[in-house]
Amino acid sequence: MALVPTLPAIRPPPEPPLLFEAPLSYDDRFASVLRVQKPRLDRQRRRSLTVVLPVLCLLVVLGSVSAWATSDRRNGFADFFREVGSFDWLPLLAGLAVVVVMCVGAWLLHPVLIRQQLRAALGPRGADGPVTVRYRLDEEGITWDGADLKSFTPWSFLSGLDEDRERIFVLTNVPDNPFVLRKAALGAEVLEAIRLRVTEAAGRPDAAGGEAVPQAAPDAVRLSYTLSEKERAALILYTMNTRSMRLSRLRSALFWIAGLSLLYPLLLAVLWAMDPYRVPFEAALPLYLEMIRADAWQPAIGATALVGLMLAINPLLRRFAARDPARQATAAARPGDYHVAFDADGLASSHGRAQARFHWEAFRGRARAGDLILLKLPWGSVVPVPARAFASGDLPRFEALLARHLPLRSRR
Amino acid sequence: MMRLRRRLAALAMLALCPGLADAQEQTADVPWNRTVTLDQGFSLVAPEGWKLEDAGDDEGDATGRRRVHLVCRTPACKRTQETCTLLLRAEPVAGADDAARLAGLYAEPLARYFRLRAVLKSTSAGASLRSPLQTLRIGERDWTAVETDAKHNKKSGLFAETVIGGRYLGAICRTCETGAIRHRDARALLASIRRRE
Repeated sequence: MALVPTLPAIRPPPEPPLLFEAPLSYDDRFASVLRVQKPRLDRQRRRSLTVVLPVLCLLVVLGSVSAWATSDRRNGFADFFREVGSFDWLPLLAGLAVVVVMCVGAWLLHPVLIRQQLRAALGPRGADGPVTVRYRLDEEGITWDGADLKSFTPWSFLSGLDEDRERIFVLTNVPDNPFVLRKAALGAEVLEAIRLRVTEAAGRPDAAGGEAVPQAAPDAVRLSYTLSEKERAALILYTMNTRSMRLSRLRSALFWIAGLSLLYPLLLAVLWAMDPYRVPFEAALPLYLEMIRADAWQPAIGATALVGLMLAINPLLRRFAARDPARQATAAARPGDYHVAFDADGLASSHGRAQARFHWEAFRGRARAGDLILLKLPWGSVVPVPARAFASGDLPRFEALLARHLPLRSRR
Repeated sequence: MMRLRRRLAALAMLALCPGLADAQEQTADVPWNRTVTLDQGFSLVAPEGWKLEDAGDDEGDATGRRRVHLVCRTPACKRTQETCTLLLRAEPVAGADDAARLAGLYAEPLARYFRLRAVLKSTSAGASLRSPLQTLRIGERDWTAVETDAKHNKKSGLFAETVIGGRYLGAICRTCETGAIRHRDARALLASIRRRE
């Protein structure tokens, strides 16, 4: 029996690490969040034309026909069908025109409004200018080295690549935190190498087993936790109720009050413009102005009451709105605890093979959201730490570190 | 069938001005009582040469009619083809007195707008307003009236409304006259309107 010697598998020599530098700014962070949210936002935008428009048109048709059918003492279908030839199309057409204008307007304005909302969610640009980040792509994953923050993300945490005209996004399993690189800052060769490496390696299982341990001083305050669904909901609620979000809500409320107050005058103006028997402008204008003077307060008060009611029940609505994303985030979370250690230098964390090191200078303040202690990073990011996760006696030590390195600010 | 044809012909005459003296069909000058009684105690005296047209199947009660159509048959009207239609409403008008009731008809600017639109539509396409919606003194009482100016070959209109003893009366008078003085007979007709409780 001939023996065939078994040759050991030949592993291709590792590629040399890809090293490059690229700036990261508020606009890059904004673009990355917008890009990640784009499929959901595009669906939302399409719905204003594919769902809202037909439904509102149907309601206008039903409302106009019903109002006409029950007016002038028309009783029953016999009267309706006998007089259907005299149906006044004008209110119906004006109603449809207003609905079309509103829905197309919402469709056109959607990108602008969404940008405003996202900017409110990220918070003000602040004094934080662009930082230069050094990247290293190697066999294990991506190392990110900024001024006050250094992290390592293994390929198993990375899910793919996305691009627009100006930027390239390396998507991670933390949906709102892709790596974002400005193409103009990278050479064509580097760009092509990034594309090639990420496409090949994203999602690749970790070569080394086990979990990383946070690299911190021996006397560091250490804790491990997995965020519960309730804590994730509290975190989402916090991001929905920052100062900039509250201001944004107030702006939206004023916009809605103005918009709804103007709806009635707008409907009348559309009726006039479309009317084949329109009253001459010089006769209609004084009546129109008198109508606005006499009647404008009614829709304004109605709109204010409606918007006020919505603002009053907004906390309740926010709680409902936070539930679903919290549930989804909990279900989609990568299994395993987060390990965190706080020392005099800052925060070291690990999750699976991923690691990060934040210097205290990286943080812009702190806040509380229920049991969560939130350490705020620039441009809307936070590190949530549940107080329940501290071992007995560790919480006072942690608070002492916070008091020393991150004094409490009155505003968030 | 004959009745239908007569009514269609009458309707066509409501809006069109052929501009020909011979276009109007001569009718036999049958003597008749010029006092016309309407429902709700209204009555009027038709001007000389004006005739009451067939009221058709108009709903009225034993005391009179709620819609009458009067046509001028004088030689002068061969050209002007004047007509007046008077309309009553079944429901009384709410208000403290007749002046308040009349003012209440168009207290809202939107109501005034839709009144203007209605008279323009009722006149003909392309019509314009000859006088605004205003309170006019015709005879012994106030009327809310508006005049329209039709395009060539269409009839212009005087649209007037009043309230007497809480009851509404509206008048639509049309003419082919294009001069400065119009609706002279129509105003006399409106001035003659009385109501007894």
